[in-house]
Amino acid sequence: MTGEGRVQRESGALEAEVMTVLWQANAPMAAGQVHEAIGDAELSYKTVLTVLARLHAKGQLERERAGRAHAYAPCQDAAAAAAEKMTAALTGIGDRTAVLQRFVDALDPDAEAALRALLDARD
Amino acid sequence: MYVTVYLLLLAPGLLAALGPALTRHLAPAAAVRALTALAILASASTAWGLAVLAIGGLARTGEVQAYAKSDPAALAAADPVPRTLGALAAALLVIALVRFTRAAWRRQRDVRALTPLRDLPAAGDLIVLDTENPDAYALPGRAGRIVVTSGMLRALPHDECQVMLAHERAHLRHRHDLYAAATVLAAAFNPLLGRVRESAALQIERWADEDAAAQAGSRHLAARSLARAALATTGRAGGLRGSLAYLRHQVTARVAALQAASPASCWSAAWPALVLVLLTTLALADTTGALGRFLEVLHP
Repeated sequence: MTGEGRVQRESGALEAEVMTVLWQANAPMAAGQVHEAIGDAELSYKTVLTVLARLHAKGQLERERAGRAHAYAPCQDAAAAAAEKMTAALTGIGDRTAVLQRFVDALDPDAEAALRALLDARD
Repeated sequence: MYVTVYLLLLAPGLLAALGPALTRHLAPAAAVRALTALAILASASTAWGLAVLAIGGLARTGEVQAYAKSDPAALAAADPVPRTLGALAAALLVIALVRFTRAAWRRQRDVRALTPLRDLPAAGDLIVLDTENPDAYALPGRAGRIVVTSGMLRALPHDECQVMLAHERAHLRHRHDLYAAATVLAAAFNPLLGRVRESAALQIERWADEDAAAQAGSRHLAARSLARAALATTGRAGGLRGSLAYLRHQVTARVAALQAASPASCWSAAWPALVLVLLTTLALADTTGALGRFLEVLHP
């Protein structure tokens, strides 16, 4: 991501990004590790710590002591409950494409090879 | 009068044919707005054309005359529509209204079913579902919530994840749910507008793709993000239940577009559509005036 995009990030987007990092990790992370994973030079460690504390207060994160600091992980119960509510709501819906704006809807099986080639070319 | 009425009924078909072709000359944002405007104009044209034919055709029936008590000579001179044609127009109009109402009701019901979900605990605008199935979508309405599964978050590296979130945020920011709703309802009213609805759906995704790519500073990154997310959802039946045929090539088109040059709008190439819009608007005005005069004869 470019520097300009980062600076314009609002606090809501930062909470989302911290959450993303924690879900992508396989183990609880300390604030320093989260800060490093986001990799934005303009973002301060203290800001990350504040966001983590805020998300924990909202019940979105669990934390355990890791030395002198805390290690944070997503609260999977909350996310599982959300998943159940979403599934329940979605079963009643007729045409999802009419009310949801999805990132990906379907994949043409014939396109699979071309998409893999695109990823392999860069990775 | 009735020449322009038949033009009004011809217009939706022509607009539906020209609409998707517009997307070759317009950038996605402009294309979405143009297609939505075309869909609304075509629906209005259909409705008004059928209504006027119905009124003209049924004016001389006994039931109407019992109330209106028109002068038979004047009415005959006003050259109304043959009764069968009027009845057919009335029937088509009723069918269109029923289809529209059902689609509108269905959408309202679905949006209402999703409304409580925006109160789920969120990290900023993000609601995470603990589900392996990769999926990500924006909820309709003003609440501004993106729903992403843990499966999707884990399928993409961090930078591609940010592109995916930016894409969904673009949907929220521009209220794409409203453009989608307008084209869906228009196609419900007049089935000829089905291709316009599908074309608009693709351009809406293209609009969000371009926004996300601009924010990330790399269209290639956006293409990779989309490709990886699409491959991750392959073979997982859950999220793709009953996927519509036109959606199957959407990913291919979107990835190809992100690898091609940045889109730009060339409005001058859109002149056939603009001319048609002008003619349709004139026909609407002319028909309205003629209807007014006819109603005066019908019920002086």
